[in-house]
Amino acid sequence: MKKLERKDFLMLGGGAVAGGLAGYVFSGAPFLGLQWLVEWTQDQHVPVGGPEQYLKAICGACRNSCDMSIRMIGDRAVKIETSNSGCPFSQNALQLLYHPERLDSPLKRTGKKGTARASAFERVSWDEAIADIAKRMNKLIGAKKGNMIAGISKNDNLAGALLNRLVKASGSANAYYEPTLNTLAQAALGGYVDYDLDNADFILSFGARLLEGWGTPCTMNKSFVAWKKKGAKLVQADAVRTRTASIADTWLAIKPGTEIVLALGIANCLAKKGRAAGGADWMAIVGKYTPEKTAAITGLKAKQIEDVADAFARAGNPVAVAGRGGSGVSSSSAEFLAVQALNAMVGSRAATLKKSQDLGEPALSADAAASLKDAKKPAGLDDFIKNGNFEMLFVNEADPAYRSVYGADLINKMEGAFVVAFMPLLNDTAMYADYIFPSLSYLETASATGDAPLKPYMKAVHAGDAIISLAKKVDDAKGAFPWNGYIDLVKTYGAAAGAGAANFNAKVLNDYLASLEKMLKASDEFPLSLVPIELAFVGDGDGLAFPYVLKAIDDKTYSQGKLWVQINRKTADEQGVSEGERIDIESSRGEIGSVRAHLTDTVAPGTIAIPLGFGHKAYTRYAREKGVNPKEIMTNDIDPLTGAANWWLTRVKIS
Amino acid sequence: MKRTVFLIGIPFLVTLYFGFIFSSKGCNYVMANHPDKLIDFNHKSHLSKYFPENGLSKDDCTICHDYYPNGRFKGLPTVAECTSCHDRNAPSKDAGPNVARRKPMFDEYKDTDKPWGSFAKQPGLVYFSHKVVMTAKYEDGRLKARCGSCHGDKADSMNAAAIKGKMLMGQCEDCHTALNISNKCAVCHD
Repeated sequence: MKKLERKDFLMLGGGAVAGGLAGYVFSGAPFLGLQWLVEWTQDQHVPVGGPEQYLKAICGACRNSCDMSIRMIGDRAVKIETSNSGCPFSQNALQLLYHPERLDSPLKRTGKKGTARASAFERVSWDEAIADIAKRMNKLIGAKKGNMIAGISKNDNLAGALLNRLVKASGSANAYYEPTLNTLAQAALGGYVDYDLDNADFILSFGARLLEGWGTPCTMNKSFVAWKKKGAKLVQADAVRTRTASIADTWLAIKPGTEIVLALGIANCLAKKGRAAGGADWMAIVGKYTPEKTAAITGLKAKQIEDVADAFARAGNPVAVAGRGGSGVSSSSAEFLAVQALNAMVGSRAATLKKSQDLGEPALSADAAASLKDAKKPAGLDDFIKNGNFEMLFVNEADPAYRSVYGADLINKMEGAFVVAFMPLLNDTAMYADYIFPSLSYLETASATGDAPLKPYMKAVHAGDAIISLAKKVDDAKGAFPWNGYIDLVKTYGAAAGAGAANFNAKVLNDYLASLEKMLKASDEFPLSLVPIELAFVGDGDGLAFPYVLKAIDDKTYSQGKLWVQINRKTADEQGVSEGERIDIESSRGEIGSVRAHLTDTVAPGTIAIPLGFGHKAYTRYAREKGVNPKEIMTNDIDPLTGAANWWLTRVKIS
Repeated sequence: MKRTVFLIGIPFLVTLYFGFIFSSKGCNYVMANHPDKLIDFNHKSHLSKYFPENGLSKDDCTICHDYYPNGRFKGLPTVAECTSCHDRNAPSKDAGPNVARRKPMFDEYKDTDKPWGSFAKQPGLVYFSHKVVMTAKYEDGRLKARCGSCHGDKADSMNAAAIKGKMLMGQCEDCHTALNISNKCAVCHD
């Protein structure tokens, strides 16, 4: 046999290496490795391990109190199931509970305002922080400047009521909620509307995106199933074919902003059938909106309006629903009144006005009373931000710097004030806070019926407990807070009560209709209408901090760092805009850009639909600097009853 | 030329074989739990012989792998399921061909014991509902999924050796897509 040479060894080695590699490839190992790599990039938390068990609890996220089952691996909750599988609250609850940027200790600002960097804060103890804030409050109240203390809460819940009480006991009238469906309805109608939608058989929605975050999403999912089972009819009036409009029995594709006119047109048809609501002056306005006139304004046909009015009148338990939007609601008080008047005209049993039991007015000290005497009371939050003033501001879970159209004004005022925030994640408003207290999610909150399903995260405390602890150190407020803790108050708190009938104020309606006429008129400078849309889990911005929500966003809403807007196809042609083109949008308030254009027939002519919830400056690394916030350029006319800006419809141009 | 083919081909084939075997076994090892299987089990004899004799179909997996009343999957059976046929008081031999005999190996276990573990146990960060997938049907009434889709052909197995282990997320997603089940993160994770 021929002697093996160097070249032969190379061939042997090469063959061996090639064979080994081929065997490795054919075994599928490299593909398995790539799949692992993909999973690894998902940054999914892997529980340390431990026994598997299921905790049973009652969900406290809303009034439905669904049964809840929490799957635990050791001490870590890994999955929540509720008896309502479509509920978005439960799907995001663990994302918030174990969020990597969840605040885990009280923070005191040591750096300049306007940043969310960790280096701008130092960790402090609860006692130290509360003592410092109480000292500042005592000083302000003692100087009869209690009216320079203000509070903004996200929701009208008990923690919000406690903050309102602390602010009032300090001698200030500046206690506000962010505009929500309930707070707007309460200001416009004298009570929130308790809709019994499960039992309605004809639902007439005026831009209320019932299946996209409107009201309580958990309840709405159940109602939708109930409607389908019993054959209830859903009629959706909207300028955009949203998800709700898509699955409605009838979609009334109206011109943006004309919902109130449609309500008056339907009322006009009902009046001809002998139905009435409000006084003669109210009905006189209704009399002007004949189906023909309504059709001309809304873009519908007179026959469509008459048919809807006829079906609405003939239904067994019809209900008209106000509150344009999903999670972010913006409707004028006149619109709430006009829609509720329809319910009054047909005697709907599915729309009852109710009032939450409040905590009553606190007894005021002499200093607080003197301060309150001089205080002005703006009608609502946006009115306060625009026209009010403060030296100390409490922010309870709210994010008005991001969500209000007056966010920039608030930021300017917060720069020179002392700001205290209670929240689980540092949001855009907390970028200007001097103290931030970590608060709890609903999974860590005890209820009147039992302990919290899970232990509080790190050093977080319920905002209600934090406010009570603070109030007990404020000399002029401690008498108004007899509770030892938040749970004491929960146990004594009663159910909501009836709020009587709404006052259908014709002057409010008249004034609004006059301003609407100007708003609806296209000008040469701003020929287009800008209206908001929402993704169900993003809402008005709350959901964007959660990685799973980001993954559910489609690439025609946000992709490659750009937000997409929807433009009517014909309008885009007229404006010379093509699919995917980058555009800037300009209103009389300013410009946002750039965004990409998606051309579609599902938006009314002359209209641009823009997603809400994007363009945060803070609110975790997942939400920060993603897209633009349209509130920066949206209309900021303030409603006289709600004190909130009506930002729904904005005249704009493409620039 | 012959010598070149020989010099390259032989080591190529040898290392191809060993590379393939080594890598495959490595993949199988990392893709399976390694549970103690204290008692062997012959699926094939039970399904092909005893099930038909008792009027059961080969697809009646839920006889042993049942659900709790709330819909949660029980997974592997307890000894109680075995002794419901192999009665603890039955004779262990000479009982006739159609009588399930007592199995002395169960004597050392309580009814609630599970003297075996699962090869396909998903990690703690994944939630999977057997009930949802196994009861999903096409419009014509056919079931969309079978046990074997994920667990392999257990019905033909004669011992407790692994057939298929865990799945990676891509496989879960492929199946979700095929069955029209959402692939959104929160469907399986929280």
